[in-house]
Amino acid sequence: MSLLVFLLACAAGAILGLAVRPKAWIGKLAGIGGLLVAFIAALLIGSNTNLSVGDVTLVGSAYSGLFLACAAGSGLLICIVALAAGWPDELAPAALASFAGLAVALTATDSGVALAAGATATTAGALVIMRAAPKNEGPDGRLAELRTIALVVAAFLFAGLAVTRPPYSNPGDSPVLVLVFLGVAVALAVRSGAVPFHVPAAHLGQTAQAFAPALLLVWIPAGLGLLALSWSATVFGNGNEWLNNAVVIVQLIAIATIVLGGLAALVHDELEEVVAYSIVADAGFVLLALAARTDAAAEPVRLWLLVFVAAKSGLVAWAAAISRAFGTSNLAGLRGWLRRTPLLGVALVVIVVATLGWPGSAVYEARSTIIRLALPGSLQLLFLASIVISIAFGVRLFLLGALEPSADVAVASGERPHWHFATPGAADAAEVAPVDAAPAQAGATTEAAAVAVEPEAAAPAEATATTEDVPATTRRRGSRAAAVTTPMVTASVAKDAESAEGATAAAVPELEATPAETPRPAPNHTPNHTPNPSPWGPKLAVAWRVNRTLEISLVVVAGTILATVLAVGGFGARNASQSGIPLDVAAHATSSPSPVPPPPGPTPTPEPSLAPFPSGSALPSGSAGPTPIVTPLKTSGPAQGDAG
Amino acid sequence: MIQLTMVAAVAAVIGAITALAARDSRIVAAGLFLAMIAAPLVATPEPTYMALAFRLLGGLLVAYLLWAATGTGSISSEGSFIGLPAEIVAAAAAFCVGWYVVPVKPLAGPLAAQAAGLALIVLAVGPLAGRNMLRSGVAIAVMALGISLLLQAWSVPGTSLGQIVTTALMVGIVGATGLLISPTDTDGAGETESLDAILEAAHDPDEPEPHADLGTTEPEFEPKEVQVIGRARRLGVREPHQ
Repeated sequence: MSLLVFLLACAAGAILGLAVRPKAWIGKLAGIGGLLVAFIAALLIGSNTNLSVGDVTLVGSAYSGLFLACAAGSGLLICIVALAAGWPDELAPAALASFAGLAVALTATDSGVALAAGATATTAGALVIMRAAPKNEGPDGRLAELRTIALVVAAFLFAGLAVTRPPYSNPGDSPVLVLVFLGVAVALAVRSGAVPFHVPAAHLGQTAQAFAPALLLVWIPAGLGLLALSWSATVFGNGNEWLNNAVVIVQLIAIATIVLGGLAALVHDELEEVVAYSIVADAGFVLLALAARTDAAAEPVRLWLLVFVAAKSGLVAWAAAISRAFGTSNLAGLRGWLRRTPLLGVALVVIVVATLGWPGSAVYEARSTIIRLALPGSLQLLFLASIVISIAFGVRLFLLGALEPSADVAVASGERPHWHFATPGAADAAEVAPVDAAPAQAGATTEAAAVAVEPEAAAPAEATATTEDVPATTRRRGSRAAAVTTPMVTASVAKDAESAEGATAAAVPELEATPAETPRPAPNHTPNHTPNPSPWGPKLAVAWRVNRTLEISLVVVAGTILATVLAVGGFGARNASQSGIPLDVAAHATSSPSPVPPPPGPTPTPEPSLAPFPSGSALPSGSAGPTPIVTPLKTSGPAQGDAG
Repeated sequence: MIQLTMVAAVAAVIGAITALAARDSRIVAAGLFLAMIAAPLVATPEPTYMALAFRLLGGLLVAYLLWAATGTGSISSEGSFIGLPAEIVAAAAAFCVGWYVVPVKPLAGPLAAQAAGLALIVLAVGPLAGRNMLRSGVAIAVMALGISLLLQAWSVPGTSLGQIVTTALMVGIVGATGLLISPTDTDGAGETESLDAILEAAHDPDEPEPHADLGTTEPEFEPKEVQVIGRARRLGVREPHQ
């Protein structure tokens, strides 16, 4: 029942969200409501969850439920932050559509259905790509997205052939297996932006809507990675020379992704690119797990994927919160951010800790196990390198935040609550800085067009202003610019109506102003559009809307703390990671013909990769490594035993 | 005796050729619809009525999405790079190869499925390498159909849920294509054009300056660029990068 509710919530939210895009508030309601219902339903998905559709049964498992809950919860976090930082109309529907596809993929007992559903989930990513041809030689993400979809569809549909392994095939030396392995690996690499396919991922800040990296680089790749890893060890475990050569290619891609992606995050200056490269670098671990070709890598990578989804979604939310607070995404403009938003500093520390863990923690062990199983001994140093690079990433941002604040940061009020009120009439002295005072930062949007109204310079009486009070033409959809006008805002205005009118008049014309007259953004401040202040609004505003930046920071911190709990194996993550998804069972239940031991000579895959995992519980469904199990060809009914 | 699977296989190939070779987007949609509803009939055993009904609905939805995305007539396919006769010959050659060359024995599905699947994949390869997004998107859909046909021939018969998911995949592919090729919203939903581009478009060197004929040195009203900037800001257009 819970699985059905999850699917219905996702479908209804996606369809409604897309259908009512002109009505922004309905879209928000549908998106957030759908994600909330899906999150709750996913929490209820367990090993006893069944849903029969024709001759195929969708079987839940503890892990699939936790993964879907983690994804839906991350989507919820992103959407809550997006309410303030700019609501992209298509993000919530795209997320819900992809979650629905992933839900079918992660619960289907038929391998063909699971893989096709995974490919279907990928197509939702097109929703968040910019639709018009770029001007001025800008990057065009549309063709890249189409080709990515083509690659994923082809690879995952063909993979069904390898999973079912018809009786005529001979996996020991079949080139089909090599092609399928390479196809799945390359599709996964392209979708997650691995080096050398990283350019579209790096340009997402220009080619896609805000928050798109969460969908295109985190949620969808994580789901596809989970699908690919659930059966690959069983299918590709028996090596041959060609397959070993293909594994070397995947290993090289993974190493390059972890190292170069991490280094790229250290040298780029646009926060969107920094975040994208950080995500890309950590996605390299999924490729490493694929290259490991052993069941022993299944449990650590399942845990890693949970942490990856939660922590990297938190990183995307963190970046959006920072950009929203200071009106820029350029690191030079963000100098001193830590002084104004210390809570976001806490969130950054928590994100790094959740990603890396510490010796003995679940995520730390998971990362080290993946590298130990996937790489030969001489390359184990990569584990240390990945830690150093990730810490350097955090330290760089932290040091930048501790420096003397830049002009952008200096004018922002930050997270500090403003309880005091200014003198009447001070609204006339609203701070309006010329747009030329600070050049528009790359990536900055017209949210910059907001008049700075310092709370201290406001009237004693406050009134709430909502976008309902703003003419429809000033509402913008699909951009971070909407951050300024869309959410309910609280603004300080003059006490009497005339003062309010005056303040409004001072705030609104900037939309029509010439470049020279255009006030530059007042980060963290919003223009006042309140011709009709509510009599009870001021009290409510004081009680509830102390500081928008503070609220967002608290949400981000809460999300990252949840990621840390997952990183230590909390919320049942450690136990759930041992169970896997029904496709694991389907793959293991399929006959594995002619097991050929890996050649001991120049095998690029290290010997430990086929050694038993130290923890016997690491194997899905309690199976014992790559040992072949001769059972019926295909499982189209409910999985035997523990479905997950 | 002519079998249903053979007829359906030929129909699927004809539909794919039509979808990939036509320039008119309506014909492209019709061809894709034909290929979509014919493909499941190649399978043995025949799919259930529910799966067929779902495929029919999916086909209609796919055709509508494609038609809606290109409805203004401003978007059309580039058509075939190599010409319709060459497309037909290529498809026929691939069909014959799939019919006479059986790489695996015994086949789990009908031979016609293998032949049609191979033909569809061969047809889709060329457009996938091109840069026309409508044609690329249609090619992805045709390729997915071809792979599903090959899987039916080589692996095991598809399930009802498999048919439904395949239909959903087709809808997803065509929906994504339709989204990516559709014109930008005029109400600013797309946030697509840079301010530089709008200014460049707004500035027409041949157009006389406002109020130039009145001899006034300072225009009473905002010049066109300023109006455009104001409008662009209202639409949420990005500011030019410095």
